[in-house]
Amino acid sequence: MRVGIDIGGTFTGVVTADERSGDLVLFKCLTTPEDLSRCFFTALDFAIKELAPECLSVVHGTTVAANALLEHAESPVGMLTTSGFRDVLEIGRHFRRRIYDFFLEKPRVLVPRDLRLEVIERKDASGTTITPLQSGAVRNAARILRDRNIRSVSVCFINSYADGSHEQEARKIFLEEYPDLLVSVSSEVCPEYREFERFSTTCVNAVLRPVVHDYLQQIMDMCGARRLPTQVAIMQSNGGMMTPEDAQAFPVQIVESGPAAGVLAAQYVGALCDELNLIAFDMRGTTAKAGLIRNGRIEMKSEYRVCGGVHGDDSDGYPIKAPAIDLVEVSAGGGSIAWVDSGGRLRVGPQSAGAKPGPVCYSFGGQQPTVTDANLLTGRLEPTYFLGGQMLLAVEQAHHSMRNMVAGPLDLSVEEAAMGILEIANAQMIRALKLITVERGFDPASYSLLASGGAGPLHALALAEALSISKVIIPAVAGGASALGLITANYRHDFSRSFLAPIDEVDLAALTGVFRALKGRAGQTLLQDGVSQRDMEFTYSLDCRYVGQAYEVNVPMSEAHLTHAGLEKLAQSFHKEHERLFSHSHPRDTIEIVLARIAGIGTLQKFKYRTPARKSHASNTESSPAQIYFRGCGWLQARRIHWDDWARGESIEGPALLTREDSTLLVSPGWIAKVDAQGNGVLTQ
Amino acid sequence: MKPARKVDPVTLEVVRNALIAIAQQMGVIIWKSARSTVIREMLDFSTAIFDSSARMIAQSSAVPLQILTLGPPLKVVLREFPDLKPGDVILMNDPYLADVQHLPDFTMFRPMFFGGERVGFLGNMAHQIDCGGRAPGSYGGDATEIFHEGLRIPPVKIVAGGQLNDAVEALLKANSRQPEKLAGDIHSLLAALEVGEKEFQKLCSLYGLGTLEACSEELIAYSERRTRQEISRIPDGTYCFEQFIDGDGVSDGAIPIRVALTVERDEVTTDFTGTGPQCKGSINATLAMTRATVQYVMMAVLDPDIPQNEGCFRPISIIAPAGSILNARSPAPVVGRVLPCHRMVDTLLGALAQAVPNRVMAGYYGNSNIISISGLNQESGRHWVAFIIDVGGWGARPTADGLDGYSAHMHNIQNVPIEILESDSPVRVERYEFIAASGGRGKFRGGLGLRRDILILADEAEVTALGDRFKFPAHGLFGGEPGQPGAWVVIREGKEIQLPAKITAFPLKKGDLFSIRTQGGGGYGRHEDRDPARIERDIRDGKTLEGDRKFDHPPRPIKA
Repeated sequence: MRVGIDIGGTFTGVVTADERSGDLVLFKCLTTPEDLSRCFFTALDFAIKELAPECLSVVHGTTVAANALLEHAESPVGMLTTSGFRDVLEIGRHFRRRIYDFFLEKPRVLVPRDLRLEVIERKDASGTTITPLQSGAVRNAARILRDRNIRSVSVCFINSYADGSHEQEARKIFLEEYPDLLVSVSSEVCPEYREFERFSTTCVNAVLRPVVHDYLQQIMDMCGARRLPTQVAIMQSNGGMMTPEDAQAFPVQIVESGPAAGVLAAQYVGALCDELNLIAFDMRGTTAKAGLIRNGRIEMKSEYRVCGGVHGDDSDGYPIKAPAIDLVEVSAGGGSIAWVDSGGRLRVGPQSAGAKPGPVCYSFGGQQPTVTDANLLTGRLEPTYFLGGQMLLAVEQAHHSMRNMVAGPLDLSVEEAAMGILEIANAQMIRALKLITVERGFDPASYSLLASGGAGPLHALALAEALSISKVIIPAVAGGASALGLITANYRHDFSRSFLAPIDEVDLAALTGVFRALKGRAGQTLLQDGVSQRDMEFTYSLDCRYVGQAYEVNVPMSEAHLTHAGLEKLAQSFHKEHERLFSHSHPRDTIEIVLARIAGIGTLQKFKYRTPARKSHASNTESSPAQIYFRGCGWLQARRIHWDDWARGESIEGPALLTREDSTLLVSPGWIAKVDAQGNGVLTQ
Repeated sequence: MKPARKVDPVTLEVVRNALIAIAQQMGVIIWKSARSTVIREMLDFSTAIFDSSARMIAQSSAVPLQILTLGPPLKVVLREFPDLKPGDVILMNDPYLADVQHLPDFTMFRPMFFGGERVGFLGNMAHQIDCGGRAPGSYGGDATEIFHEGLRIPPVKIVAGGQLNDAVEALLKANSRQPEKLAGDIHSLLAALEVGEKEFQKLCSLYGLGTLEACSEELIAYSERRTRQEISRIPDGTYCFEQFIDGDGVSDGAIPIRVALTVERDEVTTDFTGTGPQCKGSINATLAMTRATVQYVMMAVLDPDIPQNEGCFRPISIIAPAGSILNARSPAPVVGRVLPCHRMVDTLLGALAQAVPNRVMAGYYGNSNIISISGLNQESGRHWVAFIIDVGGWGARPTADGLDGYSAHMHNIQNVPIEILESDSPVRVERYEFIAASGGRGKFRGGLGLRRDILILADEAEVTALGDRFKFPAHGLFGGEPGQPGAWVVIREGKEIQLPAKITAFPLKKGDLFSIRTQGGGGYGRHEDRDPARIERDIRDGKTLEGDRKFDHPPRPIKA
């Protein structure tokens, strides 16, 4: 029996899956930010009631790490670094994204300056010791941290990517002096070169450790105390599970836990629909996100930034160097505010009305028209069936605000203005979808689009048309996709190690040794997860570049490539991949290996789930037709059907509105919608 | 030019988004596949899209100095190659023959065609690691003529009808100390242009040429409208300010930058009459650079949200006497051009502080602190170059302290990681940290300067560096104190040798420590008005001195 529990910012989603029948059940409750374990157990109790199991396997996605990072200043952590380098963390790379802003502030530094302690030691770029570690200074640092009640510390030495022995030694001394101290070591958390990014990743880990440690401990203790028949695993940003114990040691791996699960759901639903090339698109209240699935595999990234602050983009946040599902985010959502600027230009966002005050039509006090209001005023939302009728949308107020604040000043009709807002919001989302495809060297036209989130299915077809995408999938649990993704996850552990050498001068024995060590570590971790040898799978890859480049391309490989002939083949793949990504390659130039990577995957048995068809409606008749406004066509009459009244296999031609408690699907003219055996909507042109 | 058709606001916004996406996509190609650290790690490149009348309508640039700089060279291209064919690419780098900023900025243009008609142009530029000249990195601080600074390229057709001219490439490579990196970067510039044209053609088929033309017309008109609106909110008047550059590295005298900035209704005139004459040393700016600097300051102070295009510049005029350091004539060397531009920023902000005190900042580190340490690897016969650009403290703001050690204004580049420096070059960095108490005191204090010590591991090396604000520190505003000036110091056998701000090929030997100390920013408001909690926090963090607690403490001496 599997249970996925996804704690998001506002709602906690639960999906229970009965492996015998394949039936899925979705449930939502409110997130309790003051104590996240409360909503966790509300969700778990629901699952226990639903499944009455002898054993539950729970996969948990959580915002606890992301929240802790936002609030890190309240309980500071320490840092031990090479003498002369305590400011590396604060200086950063000092590149600014908003170049005209005189009033810019840097993100608050992860460790305050008086807790960044220095110790004399030094390695050179080859890992050779230049100056031995002065152990007395480490002991002294341990005492300072203990006296100040600091629970967590990072150890970040220059060139430790090449040799971590000084860092290991420092940890040993720390634990001798202060056994309760949580020590995060840079050569273990992120053994890659570029000191600022490695230090930042390690300090993020140190900042998160106390909070994540306590939270997961509380959950494990409560499960134990209540003698619950449960086994809990935690979702990571890389889309794989890890044990709670590993998550306690490496919490930097779980920062993007929830969004990652959303892409897993897309991968899973896509596979059921025989779609191996998918853009996973998710649109909610304040942001839209996009990920990519190619040949059934999720595209990953090796570095990203988190908590950029108030400007909605993470480009100025804290860098984390660790494999994660590649997600592009734009601040365009249902709550994005539309406005006319002083030069008479129609703008959408980046300000968002969020959930409060929210769109005008929510009547929570929002005064400025939003994308949701625009959807309402063009007939795309049903005022009496929002959230299944739990909330009545105020059409009059939305109309009034749209007329006064947008339509009037631009000399447009209300519906033209609303339509314009949708098109501009779409243009911003198209930029995100292009980022995840075109900028990574892929043609969106050869992908299908899978749209989830409350607002995703309303905008999906317009986006698909702009990118020449001919097939769109709306999952049966569009509003609970992250929870669904959780129960489809495998265990996964990524490990890497810097290895700098020109590809034609590689010491094969050394490279084989590096991979053997990485594989040993990944295999060992999987064993501890409870994965048996035969369910383990290891994928190898190398980050390579042309000599002199400072940006690497990841090239997949296997053990068989660890010969001179094999590396020759690998070089060919590198040229091809470089050509695909950047439109040029240089087969005569020397290639340099920079980093060896391994992913250890523990595969779990796959199940084919379905949402049981259910009739929530007493009446089986169609509602009265809707009137929907389209650019170039004006108001068109459209069928309006509840999703649950939509017979499986029945084709519906656009224009039509398919409504559901958690989302509304707009079928545009020229599109045909069907629902498949698992309950997913499939739309084709 | 076709008569403009009215375009609806929605299409306009959608097209604007699409144009920026194309400019950014070209930028990503250049950035990701670049070989030289200047482009890859320092992001010194830009891309732009021009309409059929060669007016800039969209750009992507991370470096403010590159604002609008692709416009003037395109005019030169059109004069010399009036009938460009599909698949042609023109390359250039010369400030006098092609209106480019300086020789390392390789600049390219490609015409865009759709249905047989020329529908616009794409431009891009990227700073190359080395294009010859008397010093590695083409940074010869003691150049006295443009001919000393490297290979001069007038507009040349590097690609004709899609066919690369191998002879041109060979010539370029032969003139660089880093031929492979140079060739690699040229190829990424070319690839970006090719991709950009394909994307623009897609837009043409989607919207039609007429609509695109109407959009470019309105985008330019819109930016002009918004710029005028913002200017009209500044009180009318003439505001004067002056600043000094330490010297040009050849002769010793200070060089004044003077401005009289006049606001009259919705127009601004910046008159630099009284500014020092162009100098023998390399720190000269051509009018293209002066234009970009004025534009940067005005957009930041007016409203950075206004889309950057030709329209923004129409209400702003510049008077820069020909032959002055802000409008140099051939063959004045320009490799150090960023320095007068840096100083122009502080001069303009000092003038604007009198009109809009809440929108400006005090003086900042004010130069690029460019350091190039190099040597010859005897075994391989190749040169190695450790190229470093260091930042310093921001000026304090009306509501906040200056940022500590952060790139400011015209400057926006990433530092090179210490671990990359050490794995690429025979040097070891011994420290990289803030200099305590280097920001000027004030109600809000200036940002701190940085210290970076580099140990030389090779038997022999040399350092070329271009610094400033070693004599004239960053100024404070409204009672704020100036920041500490910068310094280069060589520590040899325990003795400190102070070097001048501009040095060329100063010999270093194994065991020398080259110590970079960058400038702190100026304060804003009087120190007496500083919130004591801020003083305590700085003392706890070791960023300032205990003495700051006493408000009657005399101003800090400036260590010049």
